[in-house]
Amino acid sequence: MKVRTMSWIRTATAGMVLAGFAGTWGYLHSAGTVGTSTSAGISSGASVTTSSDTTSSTSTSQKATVSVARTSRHS
Amino acid sequence: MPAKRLLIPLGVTAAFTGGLALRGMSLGQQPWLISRASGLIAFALLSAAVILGLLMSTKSANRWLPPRISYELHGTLSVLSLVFLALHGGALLFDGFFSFTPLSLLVPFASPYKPLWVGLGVIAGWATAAVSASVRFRKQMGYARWRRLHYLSFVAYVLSLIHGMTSGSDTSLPLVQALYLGSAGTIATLLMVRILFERPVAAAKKATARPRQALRDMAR
Repeated sequence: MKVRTMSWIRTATAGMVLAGFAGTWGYLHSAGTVGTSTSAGISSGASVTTSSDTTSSTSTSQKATVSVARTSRHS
Repeated sequence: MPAKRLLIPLGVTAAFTGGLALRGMSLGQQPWLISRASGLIAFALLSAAVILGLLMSTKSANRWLPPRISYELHGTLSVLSLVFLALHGGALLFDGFFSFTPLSLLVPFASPYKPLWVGLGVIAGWATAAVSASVRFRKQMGYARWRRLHYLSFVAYVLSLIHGMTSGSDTSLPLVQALYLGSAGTIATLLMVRILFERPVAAAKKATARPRQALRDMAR
């Protein structure tokens, strides 16, 4: 009986947590927050080259392209 | 029994090959979303485990739950926190925006994104894993040493809070702010209660226990 109670606690907790995870996933998806500080900088009109997330000019341009895509997908 | 033993290597192989296959696919923003959601859930679970641990240590949990059930729940929350922590890091391997490697997820300050703040999160992850693993070796370690190691959970909590606030891109969301403020406020209050009220009680108990022991020794 005790073993059953313990396994019930574990299953119920895991179930609730999974439901919470799915809810959080949906909430973040609908909230549409931009993924990174680089893309946040672009959406607010800041210069791409001043971003601290990038290491070189080549990678900056690549990341900027992806960031814009991310921003536009959520907006 | 042998079939059960086979499940672990099979599961690891399936996860590895599946992961490799997924790495080659274009998953869009899903890995980033999964990482963010699982990070928040891992933080919520760690907070719940710390809160329940504090309630257990002050015996307040006994009012609502039998000790065995609160102990089981505390352990389950810690293990689930580790599972979601693994998902939080693992999902980043499939993110097409930042090139995370297993090494940059396991070694502190080696991340391609905000190395300092992500590094604190990596340390918090290792601390959580150490505390959870120590439960299995409590007998071998001895209770006093295990209890001291258990204090690492507070370090893990504080570091993960800092990590979430600084490197999380959802800190501006009201629900996320409520999670951070709610958990930090509850844990700070419970810690204050424990330090201010429980310690003096424990010290007084010790002080009264000593003369009794002395009397017992004299009687012998």
